Amino acid sequence: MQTPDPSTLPLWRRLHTPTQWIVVAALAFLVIVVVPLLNSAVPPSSPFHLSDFQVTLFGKYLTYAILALGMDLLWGYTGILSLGQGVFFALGGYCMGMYLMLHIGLEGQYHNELPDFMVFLNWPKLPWYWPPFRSFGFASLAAVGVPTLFAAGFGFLAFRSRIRGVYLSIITQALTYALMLLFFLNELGLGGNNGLTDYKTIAGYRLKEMSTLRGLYVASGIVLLLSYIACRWITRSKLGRVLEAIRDGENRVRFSGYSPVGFKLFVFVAAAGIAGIAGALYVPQVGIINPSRLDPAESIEVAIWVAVGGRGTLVGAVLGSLVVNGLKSWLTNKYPGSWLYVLGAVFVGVVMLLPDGLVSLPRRLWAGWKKLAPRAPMYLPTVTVAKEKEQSA
Amino acid sequence: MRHVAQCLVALWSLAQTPPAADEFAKAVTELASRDRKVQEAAIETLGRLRDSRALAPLTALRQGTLFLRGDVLVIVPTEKEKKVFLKDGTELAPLTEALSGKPIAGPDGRPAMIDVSSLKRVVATNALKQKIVPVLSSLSLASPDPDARKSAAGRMGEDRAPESIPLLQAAMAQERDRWVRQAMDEAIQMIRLGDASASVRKEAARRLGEISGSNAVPQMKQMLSTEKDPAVMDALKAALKDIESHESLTQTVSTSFEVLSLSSVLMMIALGLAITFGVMGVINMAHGEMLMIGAYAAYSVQNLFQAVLPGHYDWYFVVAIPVSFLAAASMGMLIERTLLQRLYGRPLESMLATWGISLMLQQLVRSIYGAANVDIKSPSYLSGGLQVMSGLTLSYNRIFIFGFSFCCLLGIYLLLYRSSIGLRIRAVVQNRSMSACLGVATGRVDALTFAIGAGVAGMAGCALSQLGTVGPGLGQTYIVDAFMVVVLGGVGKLLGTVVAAFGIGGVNKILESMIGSALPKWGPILSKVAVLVLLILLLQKKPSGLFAIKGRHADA
Repeated sequence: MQTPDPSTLPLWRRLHTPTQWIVVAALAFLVIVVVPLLNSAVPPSSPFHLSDFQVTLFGKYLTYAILALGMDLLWGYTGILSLGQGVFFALGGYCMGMYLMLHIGLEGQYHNELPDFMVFLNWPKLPWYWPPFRSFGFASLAAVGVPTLFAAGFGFLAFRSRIRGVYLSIITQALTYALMLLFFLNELGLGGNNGLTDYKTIAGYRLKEMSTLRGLYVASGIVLLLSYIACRWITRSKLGRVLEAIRDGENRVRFSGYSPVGFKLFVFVAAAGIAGIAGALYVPQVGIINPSRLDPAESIEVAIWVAVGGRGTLVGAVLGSLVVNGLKSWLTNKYPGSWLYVLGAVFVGVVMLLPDGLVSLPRRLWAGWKKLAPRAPMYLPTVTVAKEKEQSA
Repeated sequence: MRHVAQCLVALWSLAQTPPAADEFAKAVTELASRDRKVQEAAIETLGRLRDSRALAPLTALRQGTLFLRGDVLVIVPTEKEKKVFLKDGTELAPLTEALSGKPIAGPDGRPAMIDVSSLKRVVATNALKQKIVPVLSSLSLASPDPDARKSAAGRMGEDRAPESIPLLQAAMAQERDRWVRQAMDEAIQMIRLGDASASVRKEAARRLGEISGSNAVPQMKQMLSTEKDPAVMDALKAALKDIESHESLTQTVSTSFEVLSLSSVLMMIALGLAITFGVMGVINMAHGEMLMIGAYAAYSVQNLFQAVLPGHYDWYFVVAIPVSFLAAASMGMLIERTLLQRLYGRPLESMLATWGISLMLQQLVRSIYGAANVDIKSPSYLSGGLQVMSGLTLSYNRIFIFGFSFCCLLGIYLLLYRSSIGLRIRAVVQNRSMSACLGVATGRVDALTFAIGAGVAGMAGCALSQLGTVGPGLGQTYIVDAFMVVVLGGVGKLLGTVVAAFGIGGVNKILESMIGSALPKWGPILSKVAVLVLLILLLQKKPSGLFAIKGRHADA
């Protein structure tokens, strides 16, 4: 697919070939236009009708797909397995949740200007960090700003001291765990165990109305499309080349005169920002944000969405998050006890049997069909003595 | 052990008193007399005989659970769960003979369930019941169980009856256990605090301060507002201050002991993790589940002993330790041979795969044992504790765990540094390719280290089962801390893991109490956050942990 000199091409041609653009546009049309129409314009009796529940469920999946895009940028392209993406998702979600809480107004259980949980805790007034979130603009800005600033601080310290690989994964997991405990505290002023919930309106629209939820769904679809294009742009640029080089041999990058710290920090912050946006879109659609989103297990799951779809392919990240979450919804409904077995098996199975994910499946089937030699590994494996022996033999 | 010896001595001395046996039996039988005078005399006799076997019938008489079955005095248990209630209102209960303390057996040799309405209750008037109370206390003072003696002394101190003083003094003179003697002393002084003479009160306060009698604190504080005599007042204040400083000392000691035992568990968990990480570069996310497997193995062994060998219940723990090692080690070996071996050189993928394993193992345990936590009963030699100061008892459980973890550490040290397999393990840690060239079977070393690491975690789980309940989430509670220990301690040196485990455990607790005193509810959580922040800051200076092996590695 690589043209001889991509830099001479116009930007849009550098991202995709015209055929690919047509596919992207078709899929985007399907998700952003057709699905809402199937809900609103098609009568419920028709087999093509999508129920309100299905559309909001889809909307939730779309926000997961946005989150997965960031994860793929981080892990698939740069080789940083962060087990803390749930943190940034939740931070974005909490920012939006605070805005939504402040606009419940007098409709809450206690008919008080304060959020219900504060009335319950006998707090006389809003803590200092709450009032700015009355503004939708501020809340949206914070939903991106808080995660990115947090990621910048943490990432700076982590990457500067060359914490990487497994170490970075563990540290990010510990961070997630610590923040989960922190958000469970009532004293933090973010609803403690119950989190923020029971929202009524967003920007003046009732959240009970299907039209509002459809609007949020369409917004998620558009954001997913834009994030995809942005990520595609990053990965196809020279920056993207450096990121892949860091993934495949960080020391060689360093020896070539690049400092990986800035690149890694950039991609970590970008992924955090994307996760924050995803969280902000997730909360009004699902109607609740609580510390369970910060459970380390939730963050690790994001990695498996990407792995299932196919690392290092943005399409794979989107596909994987839709497939795994679809499977989860279906299984937890049908066979409640089986989900953890299946999820565990998916973790093991993908890593062992399908390391390049579902995206590689057609190619592999084709290769198997033609009885070709085994595919080339995506990662350059560390060359071991044993392997060298094999090769020389 | 000292308690056991004392019990034996006490039982032996009981067996040495045959002449009083007839008198004792007569007095117990006379408890059932219809004549109040005879009953009173019998109670007095029993009090004089100081035979602790009289405790059961006297307590029963006071509670109204002493019955006559024909001529035989029997006791009906107070616990409802021991009885059976039939639909027609009949109450069936297993009986014990009041005189011998033995259960009454049915024709099949097992305890018989007897209709309570066929028995005749022995009646005691309220005045008579009042007479029983001091006798019971003084009998408890002679009980073979030191804890019973101690609590009897405590009760007498609370009651503040001056006539208890001679009883207590007599018991004290014979008492061999230092801590029981102290409890008796405390009771005496507490009674004396209410004495009419100011000098006696002053002396009592002084003595209470000396022996740190914390039970007397409420009484002394109350006296601060009523006491007239300035000298007594001063003595009271001084004593309260002494007791307070003693209490803060015991508090510190007991907290640090708790930290030590918890950190030693953390050390055992992290040891296995660090070894496997050192050898294979793989973090085993299912390591916490090895802990869980060990704990559930101990639970299964316990159940097996309860079912098959109830008489040798105490031995279950001795069996459970190797069983939990083997269970976890074979699971570890299985994971390594089937999965990790094929993922060699892909640490991040290995991590995800082991996470998948951990999810499945948790669910598996939920399906086998249920989602609820299960309880494991400590064997008798591990229950109770060793009193080292007044008001400070170190439980045998925790002492055992502390010692056990160091035995494990020693074992691992010997294995790594004094055996040929250890030599090979260390070689692989330093340079895998070179070791392979020199003929070390690296695959076998991987499998073995993984099994050992998992097995040590299994034993840690078995030890942990003595500290609390065991549930499917057991591994998850410790694993994040264990990961941090590995990151902090670095790879390849045992000392790093040991220092990091005790460092993280200790700093966590210190920060918890420091933050906790300023912001009460934030303590436990902010200390965790603070430990993480400290760890990240520390890694700025020492990126590969405290005790990394020095060498010219480009890729760690």
